[in-house]
This record gives sequence, C-alpha cells and structure tokens, in this order.
Amino acid sequence: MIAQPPAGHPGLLHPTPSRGVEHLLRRSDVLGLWLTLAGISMMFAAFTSAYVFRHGVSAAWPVIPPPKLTAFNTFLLLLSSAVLEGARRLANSGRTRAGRGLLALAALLGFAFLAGQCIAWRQLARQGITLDTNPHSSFFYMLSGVHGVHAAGGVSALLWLSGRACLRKAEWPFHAVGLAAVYWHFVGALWVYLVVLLFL
Amino acid sequence: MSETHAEHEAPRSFIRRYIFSMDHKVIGIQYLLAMLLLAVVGLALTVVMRWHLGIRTVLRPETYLSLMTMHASLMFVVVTVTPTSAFGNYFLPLQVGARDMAFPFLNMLSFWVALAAGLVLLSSLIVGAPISGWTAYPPLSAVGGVAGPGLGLGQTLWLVAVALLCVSSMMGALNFIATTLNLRTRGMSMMRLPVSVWGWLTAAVTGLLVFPVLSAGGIMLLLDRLGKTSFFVPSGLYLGGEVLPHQGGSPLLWQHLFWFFGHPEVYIVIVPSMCMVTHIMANFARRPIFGYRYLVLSLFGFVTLGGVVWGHHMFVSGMSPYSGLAFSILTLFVSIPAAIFAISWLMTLWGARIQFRPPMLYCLGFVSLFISGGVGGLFNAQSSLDIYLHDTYWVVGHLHLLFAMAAIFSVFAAIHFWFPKMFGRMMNDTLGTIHFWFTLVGAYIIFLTMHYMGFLGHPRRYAEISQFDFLKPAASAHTLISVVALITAGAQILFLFNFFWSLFAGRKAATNPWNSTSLEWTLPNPVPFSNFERDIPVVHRWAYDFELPGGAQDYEMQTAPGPSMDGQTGKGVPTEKST
Ligand code: HEM
Ligand SMILES: [Cu+2]
Repeated sequence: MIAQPPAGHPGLLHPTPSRGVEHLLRRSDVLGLWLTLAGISMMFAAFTSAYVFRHGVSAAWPVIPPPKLTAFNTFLLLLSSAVLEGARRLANSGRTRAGRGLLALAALLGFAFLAGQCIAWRQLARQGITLDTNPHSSFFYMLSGVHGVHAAGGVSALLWLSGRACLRKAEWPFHAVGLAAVYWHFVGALWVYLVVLLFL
Repeated sequence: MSETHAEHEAPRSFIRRYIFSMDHKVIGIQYLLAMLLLAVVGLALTVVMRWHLGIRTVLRPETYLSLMTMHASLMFVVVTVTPTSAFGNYFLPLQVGARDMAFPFLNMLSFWVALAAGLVLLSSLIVGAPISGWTAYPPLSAVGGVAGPGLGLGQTLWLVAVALLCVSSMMGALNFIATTLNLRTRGMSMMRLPVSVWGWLTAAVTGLLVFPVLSAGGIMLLLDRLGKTSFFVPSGLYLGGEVLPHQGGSPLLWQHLFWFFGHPEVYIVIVPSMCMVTHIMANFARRPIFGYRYLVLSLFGFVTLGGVVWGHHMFVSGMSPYSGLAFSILTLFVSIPAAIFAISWLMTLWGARIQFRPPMLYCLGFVSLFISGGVGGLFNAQSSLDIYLHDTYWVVGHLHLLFAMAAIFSVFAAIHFWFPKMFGRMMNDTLGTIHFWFTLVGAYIIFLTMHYMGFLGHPRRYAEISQFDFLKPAASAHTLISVVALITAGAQILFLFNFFWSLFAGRKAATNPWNSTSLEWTLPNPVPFSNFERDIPVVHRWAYDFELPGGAQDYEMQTAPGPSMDGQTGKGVPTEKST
C-alpha cells in the first residue's frame, strides 16, 4: 500500500513555508501544548461544577481540615516553578551551565512535591479521613490525585530534561524546556486553584 | 519532544511500517479495519436482539439488556472514531498538503489506545456485559454487582474502555487541530480548505472540549464503584438485602456531566459526516458547493449551541419547567445551522447533472436520513412533547436515523469514494448500488416503525412486552422490524464482500478516477510514504471549481493556477486572488 520513499526524499515535513520547517514544528508543539492545557482545564472545570453541584444538593457539608503539609507542599511546587523559570531565563541569556543546576533543582522540588502529597494523604488517612469519609474528603482525594497524575507527568518531563542537560552534556533543549515550563506553571496554578476551591 | 516528529525515514521493517506505524495513512487504514471489526460485532448483536424481540424469545431479560448495552457502546465507538480518525487521518494531511500529521508518534499512540478501548469493551462482553445502557446511569451503574448482572467487573471494564477512548480521542484531536492550523501548504488558506477538513477540525475541537468532561464523570463513577464514594449514589439504597453505605449522592449529577459530553458527542459524529458528504456530493453533482462561507459559519454555530442544549436529554429529570423551556428553545436553534447545511445540499443538487455512482447514492441517502431524523428532533426538542416521547422507541428511532444510519451512510460514501486512493482499486458499482438500496429502505422501515411504536408509548430497553395489554399492537411491529432488520443486516454482506473482494480483485484505479479537485487526487496510487514526492504543491483555488464553462474538462484541481472561485467569494464570482 505504501511505497518506498525516493532516495533523498525531503522528509516528512512541509518544506514550503517561508520560515522553514523548524519554525513550523515549534509552532505545532506550542499549539499542541496549549490545546492540552485547554483539555485539562475542561476536565477540572467539570470537576468544579460537579463540586458546586454536589455541595448544592447536600443538606450538610462537613469540611475536612487541610492536611498539615498542604502549605509546605504548595510552597515546594511554586518554588519549583520559579526555579524552572529561572533556569529557562538563564539558559536563554546564554548561561546554560547555571541553567542546568536550576533545572535539576526544579525537577527535584517537583519530585519532593509529589512525595509530600503522598505523605499528606497518609497523614489524613491516619486521622481517619479517607476517600469515602464524606463528599468533601472524596473531592479532596480525587482532585489531588488527578492533579498528582498531571504533576507526575510534568516531573517525569523535568527529570528527563535535566538528565539530558546534565548527564549527556547535550545541547541545551531550549524548546523543550520552554514547553515544560509552561506546563509546569500551569500545574502549579492548578494546584493553587484546587486548594482555594477546597479549603477557602 | 521535538524529536518525536523529526524527519523520519520510511521504516523498513514490516512491524514498523504496518503495525506500529507512524504514517498517517497506515494509521487511517488501521482505524478503518479495527472499526469495521467492531461494527461487525455490533451488528451481529442486533441480529440476536431482533431475533429475540420479534421472532422468538430466546434470551433472558438481563442477557437482552447486556447485549443492548454492548451493541450501543460498540457502535458508539464506531461512529465516534470512524469518520474522523479513519478518514481524517488518511486524508486530512493529504488535503491540506502536509507530509504527515503534526505529531506522528501521538497519532500512533492514539490508534493503539483506541484499539485497547475496543478490546477492553469486547472483553466486558466476555466477563458479562453491563445492563445499564450506553448512558450508564447511576445508581444502576455505580454500586457494583449487587445491582444486577454485568454491573460488577463488566461495568468497570466498560468504564475503563470509555476512559481509554477519551484519551485516544484527545490525542487525535491535538493532531487534527495542529495539522490543520499549522501544516497547510502555501496558498491553502482556511477558506480554501475542502469542507471535509473543516468537519474534521470541528470534530476535533469539540472533542477536545468535551471528552475531558466525560473523563471527569468517568473517574467519579469509578470512584463510586471502587472507592465507595458517593458522588452519584443517593442515601438509603436498599439492594441485595442490605442498605448500601453511600450517602447523599446525586444521580442527576452524572446526567449533567454525561449529556454535557453527550450532546456535543453527536456533533463529533455527525459534523464530520456532514462535511465529508458535502465534499463528496459536490464532486458527483459537478457543482460548486452552495454557500461555503455559511457552512463554515454554521460549524461554529454547532459547536457553540452544542454546549448549551444538553438539558434536552433531561426534560423528565425533574428540572424546573423554566429550565426545560430554555433548553427547548436553545435546542430549536440548532435547526438553524442544520438547515443551512440542508439548504446548501439541496441548492448544490438543484438542476445539477448528478452522476449516480455509489458514493453519491450514499450521500443522497445521508441527506434524506439527516432531514428525516432532524424533523423527528424537532418533536423531541419540545419539552411538552418529549415528556411523552422520552424513553420510548421514538427516541430509539430518532437516534438511529441520525447517530447510526446517517453516520454510517457517510462512512459508506467515504469508503466508496476514497477506496481508489486508499487501496488503488475501484469498488464494484453494481454491488454498491444494490447494497445502498437495501440499506436505505431497510433503515427507513425499521426506524420509522420505531417512531410509530414510540407514539404507542412503547418504552425503550424492554426485553419483553407480552405482559402489557396496551402494547399488543406493537407485537406485529416488532415482527416487521425484526424481519426487515435481518434482511438489512444480511445485505451488509454485500458491502463486506465488495470491500474485501475489491481490495484484491477490484479494477485498478486511475490517479483521479472521479475527476476530483482536492490535493489527494494529484497523488499516484499507492500514495508514496512522504505523500508528495518532491515539493508540496502550491494551492491556487478552493476545492469546488466544478461546472467551468468552456474548456475540455469541467473542473480545475486546487493546484491549477489561474482565476478561480473560492469559498469566500462564493459561486460564480471569478477572482484573481490566486497566489
Ligand atoms: C435538529 C436536530 C436535532 C434535535 C432538535 C434533536 C433533539 C433531540 C432530543 C430533544 C433528544 C432527547 C430525546 C429524549 O431522550 O427524550 C434527542 C436524543 C438523541 N439525539 Fe437528537 N436531535 C437532533 C439531531 C440529532 C443528531 C444530528 C444526532 C446524531 C448524529 C442526534 C442524536 C441523538 C441521540 C443519540 C439521542 C438519544 C440519546 C439517548 O437517550 O440514548 N440527534 N435528540
Ligand atoms: Cu442532544
């Protein structure tokens, strides 16, 4: 069905645009990223409306206390975001060596956030608050869990990037770091939003 | 990330080329074949169901219900996936003039995840399929095996399949949007896109916005089932001799989430179908599409309205009559974009010298079914009428005319139309024509009779009606439907035979057998790995320059330079805008 390409065929991509193939690829990645964020936002919008609805139909709405680690974890996540932003800017201004360290630090902080969230879950569970304690606890576990999955995706990307930047001494992945930064800031902002939704 | 779609060589090994392929053409064919398989299983289930309902009682009621659930769910996957993921995958990059999708790796992943969704769904048939219908309303679907057969592991697998489908569809959507917006060739302005591309784009945008909502609902339902949460399960349910632990959940919440997805979902199915039909129809009417610009506008109308009408599935859920009225009125507005499409089709056909080849027949069938079904929709959409019609066979008839038959007709049209480009051979016209008539007549007899049964007040999803005196008159209708359904199902063998026989023995196809205009028809058969051998052609006009006066041929391809009509200026106004 599919024929062999001719020798020296021009590759998979569109050769005609005036600004070249690389530019188009990057533009597609950026668009793809923002579309992904739109999809994730829709999901959390749905969760939010479910939260409001479920609250609305309940006679009583017992609220669980936030896990003690919440503030600290939030701090870790936002710090990670800030550090990543620092890495990105340093690298963009040519100081990729310094950028490497910060990139790795951001990844570790992100990892620490995830670990912290697990500990926070355990703390709550030890207080006797579990998934099915009441609707509020259900929402807490579910939302932090789904957020955690998205954060884990981001952490994997950061670990992979910093591995690439530090170990293999490859050229600095400007483009990928830029994408990862946007995603990671989004994950941070989403978490702040969830904390506000659940506990304020 | 950027590596994933760096220029890649044509892979040499069989596995990388045909199995784990990143080539959008192979992926499109994989989607098509996988969905054909699911459709055959789904169809086989209806044969059993119709045998049971209209000829002889052979099933236990719960078995009937699980077959019904599986039939609907399988077909739901088929109609959701096929128009966009099979044909869009193959032809969107070709029609916009790209060498592949923007993210080939993601594309491959989306196919395998979709296949996994299909297989998981089928596996729930083996472990005992759920009886809760394709809408999976809680509490039935939310409390596990105590609620009935298939509601344990079967329902869980069902939910997993839905989740996988969501993931796959979202990955697909990214590709469709990014490819359409970023990888168009020079001269291919948005208003020069073939309408089919607009349809795939619209489906992708809609899917990107609503599949996440279904995922959210699915996660909550899974947690209710597995984690004993109470999102959807109300207090005090007494099942299997005990009171369930759930407290205070709201089954209505699921309905809102499901239908907020579910209504746009019908557009995810029908919009690309409509657009493929529009594209193919212009070709066989040899006429420029009437009102291209308005079609594009109505696509925006569909997406926007699609987000605000979900309540019309919930008129009897106890919502306030004022909300009911609002949803009613908003729903009736949907007839505006729908009517714009219908008018465009009719105007395109008006006075045309139509070539009645099979692709065109299926398009005409589509138009007919779409209008008939849409008229039925106007009844459902009025809350006062729908309180009677809801949950009767009327709705079954309505949804099958549109969601099922119209969508499948567009798929038939697309298969017959693009078969030469996909497989290098022609399908048989005679077989296609016979199959068309059997299927069209069958569809009308079956589903109009169901509308009539709805008027009788026959509830849907009943395995057995002999106990109900008021349904006595429906018994003969059931028999009629069953007989016709068996014949119509049998007629599908004609199609399957035609498809597989033509794959190997069909007449060899020319490069452009239908005298068509869009870019895929500039390519040789088989289409080379990188689509366009050397340079990607520059586009000078829209895809509907048919009916040209003078000249040896009555059409111009999009690559032909010279004055053109395009979608913005509309029919018959030549411009010099070609770049
Ligand atoms: C003018 C156009 C349309 C209107 C006004 C309309 C209206 C409605 C309404 C009000 C219902 C709910 C009926 C009830 O459950 O009592 C309904 C059901 C349905 N419609 Fe439509 N519809 C239209 C077009 C379509 C199209 C184009 C499709 C699909 C391609 C479609 C697919 C469905 C499906 C699948 C259901 C049944 C869902 C279920 O309960 O299982 N409709 N329609
Ligand atoms: Cu609807």
